[in-house]
Amino acid sequence: MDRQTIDHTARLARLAVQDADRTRYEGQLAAILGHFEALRRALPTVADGAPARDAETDPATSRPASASPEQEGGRTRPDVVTPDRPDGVALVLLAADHEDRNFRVPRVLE
Amino acid sequence: MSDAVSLRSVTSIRDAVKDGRVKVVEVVDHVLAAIRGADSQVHAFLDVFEDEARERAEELDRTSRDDGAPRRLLGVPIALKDNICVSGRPTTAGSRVLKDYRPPYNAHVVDRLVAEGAVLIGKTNLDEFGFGSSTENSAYGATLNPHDLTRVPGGSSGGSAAAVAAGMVPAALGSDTGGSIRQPASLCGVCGFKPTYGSVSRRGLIAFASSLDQIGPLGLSVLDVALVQSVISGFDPGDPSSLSMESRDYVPTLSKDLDGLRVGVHRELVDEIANTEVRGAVLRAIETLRDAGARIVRLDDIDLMTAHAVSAYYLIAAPEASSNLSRYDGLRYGPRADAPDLNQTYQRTRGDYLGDEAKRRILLGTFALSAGHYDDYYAKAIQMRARFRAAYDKVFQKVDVLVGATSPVPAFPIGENCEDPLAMYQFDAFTIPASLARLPAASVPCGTTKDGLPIGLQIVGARGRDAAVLSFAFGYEQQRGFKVQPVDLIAKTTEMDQA
Repeated sequence: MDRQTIDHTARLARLAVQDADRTRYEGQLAAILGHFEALRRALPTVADGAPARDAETDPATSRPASASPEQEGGRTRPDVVTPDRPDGVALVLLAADHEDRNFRVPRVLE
Repeated sequence: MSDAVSLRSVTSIRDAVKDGRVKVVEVVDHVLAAIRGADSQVHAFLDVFEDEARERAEELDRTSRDDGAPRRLLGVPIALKDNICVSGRPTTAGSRVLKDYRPPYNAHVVDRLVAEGAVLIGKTNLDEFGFGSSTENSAYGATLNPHDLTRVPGGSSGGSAAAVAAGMVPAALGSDTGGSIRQPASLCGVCGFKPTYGSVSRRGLIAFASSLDQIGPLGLSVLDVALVQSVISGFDPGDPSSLSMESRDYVPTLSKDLDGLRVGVHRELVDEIANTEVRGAVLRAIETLRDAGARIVRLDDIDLMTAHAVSAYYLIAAPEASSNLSRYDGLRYGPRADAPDLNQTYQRTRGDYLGDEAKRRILLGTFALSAGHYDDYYAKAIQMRARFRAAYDKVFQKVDVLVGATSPVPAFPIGENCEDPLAMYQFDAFTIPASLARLPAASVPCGTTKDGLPIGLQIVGARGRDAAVLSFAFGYEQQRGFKVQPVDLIAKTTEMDQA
């Protein structure tokens, strides 16, 4: 993984990386990816007929994609709307600076 | 309080409180004093609920004997890894990006503990978001191993393991993504259990890798671990990965009898361990099992692919982590960096407040998911995961449990592996396969090195056979010839001073 790839990946990840860290990550990630090569070589590539998509896990639910939730031993809950906490406590607790039921928010307009 | 009451185990505390031999307030005061005495040396806790725990204890003393509810953890103080949400209390996941974050709700496991009469005692230290095997990656400082304060406690649930090992609490909850309960349990000389994926709700657990994360208990004995596991397991409609299984009591099925049980042994997990003291302790444990009547079955003809475990795991866990951590952008949680526009606000907040290992994993995960690399990395790791599942399915057609070392090494010195992340990742090699295959697995102390560092035996079972794993671990514990005692840090410090 070279400097250019790190910069591109950091941009994708919305992550600011300092120059000194970039150099360190370059070496460390190259070593890690080098270690992963053995796994890459051990398995067929997509061109050789391997599945192109995630055959194991459905990223939306983290369940194995090949089986229904029931087959995997799970069950889904009824898809119904339930009321939020009515007292606004949830929102207030999320704020670092709050008093009673009011909380301070950062200024967004000058 | 009677001197005869032991405050070291979950069951003895619960029974003494129920019988009226001790008040919950006395138990909580004892635990708070133990934390004050030991935690200045160990740094296992990030937050201690001193006032709330006392109030809760007083409430339980006032009400519990009259209402007759059969609370299985009545009066038992329990610590929580700080990635488990407690309503209104700081929950940092060991990260500066969640500094001062207070969740508006309890994790499902917290509600279950409270409903059974437990007293929440505080939050324990961890590697940031669970990213590590030493608890050195916490933004709030490293936790030290009570057995040797110059060494790591393992991780990422190192705070929970150290708190139990030092006798500060009788039990704690951790979370395990690739070994984060079992490996610190091994390095700290306590019991730890990672349940089958989906058997404990993760609602209110701060996500690391959603297809792997699982909450589980740590304690001094298998009995204590089984009791806490009985309380926290079972279906939760609030967690889409929750398995459709009712809560069950794992305690009545614990059996001392190992006679005739088929115990799998594989060269990759035993004979090929490089550290001679770890290998020796595991081989002695296998002899103990054989002497107790268990049937040892060699499984060397099955390729367990242990050499690929670390690669497959990190190529799945890092992408999932990079996705889960995208929510920490300075808008929704925690602190925000000053920046002239929105994009730079995201970048600088994440750059300033996420730790080194978190950034490394975000970069690795984003790279593995990016166009042009997905098929070479993430897709192949997913294929390898399917192979792990198939290999372990074969194992459990032949045996009841598989045993081996939990960690390839005992506790290592603080700072020794900080600059070599790949070396650190290798410490998970034995615990990762059970995580990838979603299997239940326990770590039980099986001996020590000549320097007194604990060594753990890992016991893995078939998916859903959590009761069998816990019962086997209990059976081994009864046979192994020693009882785990918490480390007396005051005596240890005196010894060191005299030396």
